[in-house]
Amino acid sequence: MQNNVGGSPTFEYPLPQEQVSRMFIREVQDYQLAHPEEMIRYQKEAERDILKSKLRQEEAKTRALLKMKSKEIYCTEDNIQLVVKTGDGREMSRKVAFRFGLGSLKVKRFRREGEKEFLLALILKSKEKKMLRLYPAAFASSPLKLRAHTFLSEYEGSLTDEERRFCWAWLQKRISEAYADDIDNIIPSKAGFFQAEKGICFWADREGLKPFLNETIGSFSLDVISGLDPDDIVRELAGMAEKIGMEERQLGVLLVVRLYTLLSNLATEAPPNIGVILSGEDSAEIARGFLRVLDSGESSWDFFNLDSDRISLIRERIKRLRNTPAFFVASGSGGKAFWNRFQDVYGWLQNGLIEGTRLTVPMIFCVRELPVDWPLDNLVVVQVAKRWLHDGGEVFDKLQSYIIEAVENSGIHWGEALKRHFQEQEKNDDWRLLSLLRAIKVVALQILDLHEEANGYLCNLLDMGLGEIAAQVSLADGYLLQKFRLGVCHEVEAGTFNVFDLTEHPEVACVDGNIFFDGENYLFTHKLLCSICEALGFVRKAALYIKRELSSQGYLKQYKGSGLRPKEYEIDLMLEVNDKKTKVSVLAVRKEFWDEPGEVALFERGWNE
Amino acid sequence: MRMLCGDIPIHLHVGASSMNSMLFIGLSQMGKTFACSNLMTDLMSKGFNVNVIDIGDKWGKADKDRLVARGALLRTVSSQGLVLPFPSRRELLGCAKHLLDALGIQSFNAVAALRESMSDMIENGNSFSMLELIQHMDFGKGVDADNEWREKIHLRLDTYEDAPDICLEVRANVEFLSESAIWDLSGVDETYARMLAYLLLYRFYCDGKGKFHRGENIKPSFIVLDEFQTLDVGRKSILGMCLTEGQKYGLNMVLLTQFLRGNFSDPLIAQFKQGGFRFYFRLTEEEARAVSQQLARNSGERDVLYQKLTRLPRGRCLMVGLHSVGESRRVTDKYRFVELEAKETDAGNNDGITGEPGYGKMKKENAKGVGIEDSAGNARQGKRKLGRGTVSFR
Repeated sequence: MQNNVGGSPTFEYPLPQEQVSRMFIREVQDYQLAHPEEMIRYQKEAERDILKSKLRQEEAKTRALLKMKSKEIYCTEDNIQLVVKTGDGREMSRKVAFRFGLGSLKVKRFRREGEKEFLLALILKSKEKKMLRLYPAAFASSPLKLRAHTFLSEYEGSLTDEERRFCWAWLQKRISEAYADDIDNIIPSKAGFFQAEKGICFWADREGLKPFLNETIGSFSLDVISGLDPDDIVRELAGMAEKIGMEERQLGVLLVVRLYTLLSNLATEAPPNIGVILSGEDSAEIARGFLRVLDSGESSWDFFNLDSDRISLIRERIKRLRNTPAFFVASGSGGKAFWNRFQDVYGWLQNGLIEGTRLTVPMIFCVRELPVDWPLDNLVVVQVAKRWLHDGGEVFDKLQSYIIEAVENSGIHWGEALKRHFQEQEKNDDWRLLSLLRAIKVVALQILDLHEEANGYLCNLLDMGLGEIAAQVSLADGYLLQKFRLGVCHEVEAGTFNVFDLTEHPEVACVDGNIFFDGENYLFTHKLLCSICEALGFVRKAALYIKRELSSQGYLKQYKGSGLRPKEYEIDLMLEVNDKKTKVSVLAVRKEFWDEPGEVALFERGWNE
Repeated sequence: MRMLCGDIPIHLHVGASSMNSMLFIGLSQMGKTFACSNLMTDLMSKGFNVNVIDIGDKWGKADKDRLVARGALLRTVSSQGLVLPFPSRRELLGCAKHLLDALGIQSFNAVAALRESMSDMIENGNSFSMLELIQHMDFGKGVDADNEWREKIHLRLDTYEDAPDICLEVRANVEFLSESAIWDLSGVDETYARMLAYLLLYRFYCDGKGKFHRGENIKPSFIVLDEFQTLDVGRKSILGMCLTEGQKYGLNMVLLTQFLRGNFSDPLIAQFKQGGFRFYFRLTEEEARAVSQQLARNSGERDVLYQKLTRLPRGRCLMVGLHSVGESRRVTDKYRFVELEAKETDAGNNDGITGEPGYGKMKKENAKGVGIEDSAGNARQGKRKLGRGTVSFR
């Protein structure tokens, strides 16, 4: 331990390498100076080494050049080839990279109406077939996505991984350039008529349009019937109405609604709204047959159950409908959840907006029995009958097919004509809905170009439908009730209906056409009320309005409503006629409605003997 | 005159029962007299006798002329005097009580004294005038026990202005009610006018009672008294008797007044309900409330009636009585708000009255309401709607 005191620990290390080299070179120089022949030999040896080294470098260079390969793409008419060349330009190999010519591949840039995202369209025309697919625009910037998700991969040749990477990168670059050079092409996002610059096309799951379909359009198919004669169609229409016992007024309403559904969006981007209630047995099936323009098949995109479907689902689907109605099926029993949905849907109809999106399709409510508490403003009520199902609305499909074909073949002619007629009608009439319906009627008749007789029939039919819709939509409650009151008085005075005391003549309760009364009420059977409404020229909806108004003003005798079920308008009477008990369902209107103190009572007006 | 309920004609069934008295109540200028005058004209055209006792310019010239044009005699008492023939002495003496009623004297002794005086005068010549009666009362003063009342009666009669030329006589086989007449008492002192009204009523009463007693066919007649609140309508008064018993004898009172409440006591008002027909024109709130309570079956109806009665326009009234509606033959007694539509030129059957004199002798063709069919044509042009004197043509 004492030896280490005061001294460096590295003192005893060997000399550094540099110092050693200098010592060696000094020794060599000393030796050469001492021996000159050795020095010469040494120099020659060094020169030989240098030469050898140069030779080796040259050889290595040559070997490297021979090893180098270059890849090039050659486009022919039929395919795209990959050529591999050596470094000196000699062709080593030639392979088919893609089995299509670059000239047959077209790249387009699309965007769906109302959407921000662009779409990449790859169109490949070959002698055998034409391929067209839409892909997200992001595919244009990624060779991997192009290869993984596009149909181009089907046309790839046998390539090594390296070659594949090279070829797809090349192709992606071409596609990307073509995509960037193209203009924005707008395509529809919903099924139905779409007016492009060149013409109008009806978008659905149809031949020729499939590549462009999105989920919405693809969910709807269109029955295309060719070789139709419009005069035959109208004749068939008349025959159908007679066959299934449909009133012309009802047929007119359905036909007008169908034409409105089909053509309204050609006239304006914001067509006025219309709602229809189909009341009766199998009303949903009848709606499907007569009012549906597009067939949603099993997906039932356009059918909603107000008793159970989520409102968010209904909302999203309605937004994506065009040229085909939204059908709402309801049991009519109406729980709280139902009412919430119904109020939402009815609100959309009234406002014409669904969360800022314009509602462009009619709403069809299908119910077996129209509930007493449904609001009816701006709704057209059609009482349907099960027998209508026998026909199923095939004639409507034919008429629709003919019109669609005519509109598509005319380019933009009928679309422009419809817009023009609508604008003219709007100038003359403040009522937009009626203006639009009239314009549609005029253009539809022009499209069909019927002979005189058929034209007259169809024109009359559409006029009746228009009249019915106008009458129903313009109903004013107070006026209607007053008209009903005075109308019944007048009809009783005229002897159209007889008024009997039920206690004196219970047998008349079973006879249609008789109004009867007890101590407090005038009693009307359903048939009688329908007859009265018919005699007064009222539509069916008017009868519902009248019942509702009578009820709200306390003129109706009603059973007490339970917590779940609303009050019903009619009550049941048990009559004993000829020892036989009969139950009659009647609308019991308080006498005060007609009989004011000191004035002539309704039953007295019928005293004509 | 036509009565329209809404736009449906209403036909009164006058003469269909013994209850044919009429009561017209309503505020001034609401059309009571006009309506009554027209109705009486129609009744005359149906063959009913109508006697209007005008106790002092209650009826205007136009109203009287309407009846005169239909054949009524205008008897102006102040200028023409009045001869009241009674079929028997007993009946003539019976008017003593009613004469004293007019003077405000209600005493058996007074009646006895007057009867005695009248009896004395009849014995002298079967007839006497009012002036003679007054002198006789004065002449006999202080002769016997009845002198005290004679004196009082004389004083009362002598206090007023000149007595009208009234002659009471006993004459058998005289039918006083054979013709319609207007007994115009204007120009006669108020007390004498009241006295004359009582005498006339008594005379009519005696005539009807006599026929009833003899079992003769009673022809309903109508006696009109406008503003009758100035007369005594107590049960023992002649007017009360006519009201309660007169209908039995074919004597139907037609009374017009503005108010019942305030003018008459409740028992008296109840007595008026015996009237076969009542016409309520616009009423005061108090009157309307009473009428609505009387007619309505429930509170709602009562409120409506009350509101309507206080707001009735001129020419509209609430009618209660037997009637039929439109072309129906069914007779009902429901109350109706009717609009009175008068005609300047009557065409006989175009009025709102169905029936003819004689109980239950309603003709079928009349009952069917021929007025409706006949109302078309020229006769319509003369129709005048009652109300503020405006003329409306339908």
